This record gives sequence, structure tokens and C-alpha cells, in this order.
Amino acid sequence: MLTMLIINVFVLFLGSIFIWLPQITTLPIILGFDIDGALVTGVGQFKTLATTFWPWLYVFYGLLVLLGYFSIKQVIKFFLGSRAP
Amino acid sequence: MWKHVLLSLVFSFVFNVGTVEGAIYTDNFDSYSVGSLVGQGIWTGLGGPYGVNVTATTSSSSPNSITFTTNGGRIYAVQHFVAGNFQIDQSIKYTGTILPSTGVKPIVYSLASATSSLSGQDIVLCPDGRLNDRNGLSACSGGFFSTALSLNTWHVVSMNGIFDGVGYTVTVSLDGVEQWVNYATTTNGFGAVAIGTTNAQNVFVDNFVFRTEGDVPTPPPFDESTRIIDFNPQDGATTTSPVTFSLEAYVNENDIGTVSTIQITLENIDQNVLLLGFLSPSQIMLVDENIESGGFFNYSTTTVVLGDGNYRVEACIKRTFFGGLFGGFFESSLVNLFSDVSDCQSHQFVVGTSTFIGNISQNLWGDTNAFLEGLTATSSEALASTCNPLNLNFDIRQCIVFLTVPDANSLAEVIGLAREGILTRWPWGYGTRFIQILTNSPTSTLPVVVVPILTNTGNDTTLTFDFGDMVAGGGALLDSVSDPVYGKNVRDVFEPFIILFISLLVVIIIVNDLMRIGRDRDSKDIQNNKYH
Repeated sequence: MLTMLIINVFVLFLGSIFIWLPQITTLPIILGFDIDGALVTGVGQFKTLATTFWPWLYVFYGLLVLLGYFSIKQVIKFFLGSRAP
Repeated sequence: MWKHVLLSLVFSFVFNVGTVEGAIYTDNFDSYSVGSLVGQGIWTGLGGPYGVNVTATTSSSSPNSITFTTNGGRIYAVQHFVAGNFQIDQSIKYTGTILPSTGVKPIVYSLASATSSLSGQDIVLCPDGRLNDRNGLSACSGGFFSTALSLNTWHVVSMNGIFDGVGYTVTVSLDGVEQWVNYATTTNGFGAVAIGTTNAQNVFVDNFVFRTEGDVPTPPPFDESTRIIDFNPQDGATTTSPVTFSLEAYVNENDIGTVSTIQITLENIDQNVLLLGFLSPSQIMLVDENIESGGFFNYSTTTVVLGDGNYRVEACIKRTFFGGLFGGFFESSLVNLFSDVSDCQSHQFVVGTSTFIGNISQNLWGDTNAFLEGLTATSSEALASTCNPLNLNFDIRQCIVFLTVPDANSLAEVIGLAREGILTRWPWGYGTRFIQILTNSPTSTLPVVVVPILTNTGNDTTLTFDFGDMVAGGGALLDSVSDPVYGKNVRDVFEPFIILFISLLVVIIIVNDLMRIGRDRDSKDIQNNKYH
């Protein structure tokens, strides 16, 4: 109960800070090009292909890991600025 | 490990988990939920030579369920014969008033199952004739279904039994309608209906509904969530080496993704491991497979030779970000906020002779889990009352747990709210959506190309190229090619090497990048003569 209260308060606090920001459910349409639809279709077709050409799946996972790593680096740089290592 | 043991020790001294008691007789004459039998121990049944273990064999995903674990075990639904009205009780072992009865009445039953395990099993349904609380039969001699029951389908079961106090005959047919005429008892008798297995097999039963004549009712709802249905060895079982591990799971079509895995891990929990744990691996991965199609899954590992002692086996079905990369590091270290698929269950069992410390660990683990599961089943109001010293339910131990241990459902709800309310906000919501697209199950298929062929003769036609079929056919062809010695196909042979290669490549790239941290700035500082 107390733990849940703390978690709830924390989530409520974070949520109330950002509540004024618009909610994003899909990627934008730029110059008439539906990025979200294109990605969903493309990734879906890639994964369908990867069920047969399975090595590509692990290449995909590897790229995801690298993407995560470099994203974290960019976030650290954003918050620490020139103090980032 | 030690944290777990200590926690278990605390709970063991504090809590006493008893067997569930309660009446199982109700006035509901139509529905017969076997869940009401859970916790009733071993039942010998009415006239049956074997018992049904309904002590602790529920599936966590289907709490109203029991599992047949005994050869020939049966579940009984007693049927009384009262002035021409047939009444089905939710009762077994009924020893109430013997009611006078006359006449001969037909009965038709509907039988359904919301699980898959009944498929392919021979189920016996047998009326049990009795006279003055005495068996009219030495054993319940029902008929056998020669046809397997279909999933989530109502089968009309017909019985024809004549009991005259001397002889007894019965025939049972599946999906038969008029193949029987009468089910009869003599004066002061009553009948019983039983369902049982005919062989030593593990049958998972969720719900039976018996009914008298009338319309076929709606089949019980089928639990379509991705879940573990059952796995062996059962919790608390004592077995001998070698041990065979098996698992039955269901994966919803919508949860299919190449990053979903089913795992079974084994851990020795007796004193040998407690004392020498640092010398031996604490867990052995028995099964670690990706899920690539929906439906029911049955895994049976090769037989494993184990020494005597206490063991704990855990089965998990879950979705992760990165499949088997990095030896499953991400599976255990990171919580995937984008996935709702997660079901883990633990069983503890003894091989041969148990050990003293192993028994303590096993019992404490079981007590703790039973206590926590009991709390989950208790309402928040009831739990809150345990913190009130003026209330009769005051219990400081339950109160502490209530205050400190977050409820799993509430936690999942909060995580969902955080995901919806925080992670989807602009601008990082684009990143969240991007990751969702990358990690979600594919919803699009390969395109189909239709080429019209125009001719001068007027017999125009079209050629259709379905790339999905082509890829599926190519994949099936590749998988069918296997080496003649070990029977392994290309994927079986090369997949581990490719995983290793890509994992090493990614690690090298990251380490190389980390090693360069600060190097660029240092070189600029040197150029600017900062160090002089």
C-alpha cells in the first residue's frame, strides 16, 4: 500500500509535469508522407521476410541495441552539456 | 538466493497456511465448476478405485481448474433422483439423505471444456448406480469416448444405463442424440455421474457443465491470453531420476513476435548448492525457444539425469526486446515496458530422497508463495482491516505485507498509466512510438502483385505473385534440409554462431566507442595548450 502510494505519487508527479505536452500516438505525416504507416508496413514486411531469412533478424536486434546505446549517449549529452564525458 | 531464503524463513515462522475448507454442496443444478473442488485433497470418489488429486493443482491462469494426476481418477457430479426431476449438484462425496425415487427418466448431458488438454484424451463418463448408499457396481463402468473432445465445443453426451440392483449396463456416446433411452434407479437409490481419465495422463480441466434436457448452452469462454497452462514435474511432486520436463502453453496470435520466448530453468535448492553455490552454476536452462506461431505449445525436454535432492523449476513465457542476443542478458535485466506478455511459474520437486535444508527451502518457498497468492485473492478492504488494532482481523504480519508489498495488478496498471501518460508525450513520444513499431509483432504482410496479361484473342488473364507464400515456401524448404547424422537443419547449425558473431560485433562497437570517451576533448585541450 505504502509502496504503491509512493509509486503512484511519483507517476502522478511526472505525469502532471508533462500533462501540458501533446500526446503522440503516431509518427507525423510530412509533406503528405505517412511516416507511421510506412514504418509499420516496412517493419512488418521485414519481420515477415526475416522469418525465412532469419540472420537478418539478429542484425536487426543488433542495430536496435546500438540504437539504444547511442540514444542514451545523446540523452546524457543533452542533460550534461559540456560536462558530458 | 539468500535474500529469498531469508524472506521465506521470516514468512514460515509467521504464517500458517492451512488447507482450504468449505462446503462444496450448492443448489446450482446446472453448472458444475470443478474449481469448487480445489483444495479438497485426495478424493476417492464414489465407487471409483482411484482418487483425484485436487489439492494444489490449479493453473494460475485458470483458478477454477483442477488437474487429473492419478491414473483412472474421476470427478463426480452426484445426481439425485427426486420425483422425476433430475438435479445436478456441485457435489462429490455426497452422503446426504437417500431419496425415494420411482420411474425411469432419460438424461442428456452437455460436456464442454475451455482448455485444449481434453483434445486427444480418452475421457470416461460413467453413471454410478447405488442402492441404499451401497455401490451397485464394483467400479464405475462407463463408456469410453473413442472420439477426442474438441476444444471449446459442446458435445452432447448420451447415456443409457439400467440399474436393477443386480446388474448394470451403460453405453456412452459422444455427440449422440438418441442412442440411449433410460437411466434408471430403483427405490431408495441415487445415481452419480463421473468424468475421469483412463490412463496415467495429466488432464487439465477448467469447467464442466452438466445439464438436463434443453437447449445447448453457450460454451464457456476460452482464455485467449498468452499463458503457461501447465508444466511438469508438478509442484511438491516426488520423482525419480531421470526426470522428464514438459510444458504446455498457449500463445495468442496477436502476441506472436520473433522476440517472444519460452524458457524452463532448473535449480538445485538443497544443501549441496547452498554450501557450494559459488562452485557450480545455480541455474540450468532446459528450454529457451523463440515463438514464431500462435496456438498451443507442448514442450518436452529430453530426460535429464539428476542426483537426489530438492529442485526448483521455473517456466516463463515472455516477450523481450532482443531475443536471444547476449545470452538473454536483456531478458533478465530490463523490464520491457512495451510488453504485457509475461507469465512465470515455479514448481518445486524432490528427486529420490530429499535433504533437510532442501526441504526447508522448498517448504518456505511454497508457504511464502501461498501466502502472497492468498493475499492477492483477498480484497483490499479485508487486508486493510488487518491493520486496525480494534478489528478482530488485526494481524500485524498481514498488515506489514499489505503496506509494503505492491499488488501486482496495481503495479501493472500504474506502469500502463506511466507508459500512456508520460512516455507518449511530445517530443519523446515519437521515440516511444518508433520503438513500439520496431518491437511490436508484425501486422503487415508482403504485397501481392497481380499482373494482367492482355491478349488479342480476348482471353485476357492475370498472373498473381504472392510473395508471402513464396517466402513461406522457401522457409519450409530450407528447414526441411537437414544433415543426415544429427538431423539438424541449416538454422539449427548456424544460428548460434550468427548470434555469437553479432553479439560480439555489437559489444566491440560499444566498447570501442566507450574507449574514445574524452579522447576527442583531450586532443582539443592539447591543441589549445590547456595543459601547459
